[in-house]
Amino acid sequence: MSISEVQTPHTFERRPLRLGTLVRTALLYGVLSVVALLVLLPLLFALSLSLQGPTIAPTLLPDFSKLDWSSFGQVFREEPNLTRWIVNSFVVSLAVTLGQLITSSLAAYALANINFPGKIAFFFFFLGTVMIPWEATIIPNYLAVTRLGWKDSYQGLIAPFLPAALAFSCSGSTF
Amino acid sequence: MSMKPGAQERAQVGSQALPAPAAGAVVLPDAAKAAAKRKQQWKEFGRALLFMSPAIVFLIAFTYIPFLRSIWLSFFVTTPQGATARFNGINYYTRIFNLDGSGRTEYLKSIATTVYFSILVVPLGIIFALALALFATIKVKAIAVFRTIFTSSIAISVASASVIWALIYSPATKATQWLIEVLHLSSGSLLQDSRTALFAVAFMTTWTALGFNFIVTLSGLQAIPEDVYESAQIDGATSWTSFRFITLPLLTPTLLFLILINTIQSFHAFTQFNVLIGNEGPDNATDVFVFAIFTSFWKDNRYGFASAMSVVLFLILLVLTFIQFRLLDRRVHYQ
Repeated sequence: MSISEVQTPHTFERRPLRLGTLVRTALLYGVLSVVALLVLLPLLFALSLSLQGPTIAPTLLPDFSKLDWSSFGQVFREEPNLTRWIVNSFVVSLAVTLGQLITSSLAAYALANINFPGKIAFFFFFLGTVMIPWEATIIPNYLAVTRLGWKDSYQGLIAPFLPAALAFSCSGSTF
Repeated sequence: MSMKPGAQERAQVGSQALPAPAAGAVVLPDAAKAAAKRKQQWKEFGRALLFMSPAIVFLIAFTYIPFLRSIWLSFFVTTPQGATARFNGINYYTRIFNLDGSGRTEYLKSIATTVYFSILVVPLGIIFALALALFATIKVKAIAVFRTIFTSSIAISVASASVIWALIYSPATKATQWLIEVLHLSSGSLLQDSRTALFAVAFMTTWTALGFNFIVTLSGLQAIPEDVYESAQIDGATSWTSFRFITLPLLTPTLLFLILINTIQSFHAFTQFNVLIGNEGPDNATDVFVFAIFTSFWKDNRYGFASAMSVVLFLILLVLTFIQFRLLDRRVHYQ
């Protein structure tokens, strides 16, 4: 008890910075930086490769005196569809997210705030979809999308994935 | 029937909206009361159904019907257009499990490869995440920066990560040349040798999952109250003993969750195999089950057979989840 009384926050703050704590902090930052570097290594490696220009013998580190940024412009020039692909990703993910938000929040509202007979059955109806892996539905979905003529279209990419995250949001707001 | 406070209020408001007996009037007989109550219940049911209908329509159309159709298709030989051609009974299932006496075990082997893959990925991923999370609890000022860096792989899709690691493993970049020399491999790449290919993909997968595993573990660590450690310290606990007897037991719910999610994900793993290996791989060493499904679905157009495999995968995942819940639930310490 007496020990904790001596080390009140007030006296602790007033203590001058000692060399020991300084070295310790520097050491901790050093360790954290090494760990962070290890985690980022694959990304940094890819970045390093992208800055070395066309070479058949890339090295781990680029030559920092002549960094070659031309690859980034080149990729858009040589692959004119790239912008279209990026737009596609945005359209599909935006539509799927919005669709999931709307359908699942409506259903979750009913489950959370309305008291109706058969609620438990509906809850398990939604939760049961978590147990079905996408591999078990992708083949009939693919065949259905083909039959509808939706192949190579936005609706073909969006519609089958609209209800995916549903059960999670339902369970989240119900319990 | 449990009701939330809000629902209860609304339900009462609803019942007041019904024609209420005037003050001093004779109390309604029980039968009439019950009828009114039933009418009220049906009204609530209709309202709830209205809210749930978009979700129900989509789930039936794109999850439940396709799932039932997968089961249906798995008993048929199909045309390349996906129509059923001939009833096949359970032949596809006996073929997968080598019960037809043909001695062809490639599908049983691919299940074994998948199990081996998840045995590599799950413990490795959780150990890395736990170590990172412990580093992220170091009390220095700029710790938020390091936490952001440790989480960064969550922002990279499996496909992009696979391309990055394809560069790392590529013999052209020579980034893993030292490892090939240390292990005395004869092939030019870790991915081309049947002894290292699966391990290489597993290591790449742990890196991809690191961000998610890290952030979940860290939130689990931060949920442990500080005073537990303080009182242990007063009792003379070293940092190892407080990790062993406080952190680990109190973290088990989090770790159980991660084991479950990671096992299921490793059974689903496909993208990295498609990008890094792209084919059956060296001596079928990387032929995981989902890749076998993909091959018979996409390359061979054998929809019936692919459906049978996906039903098997569904059953495996169902059993796995059940076993893990039963086994690990007993050892979990909830505070």
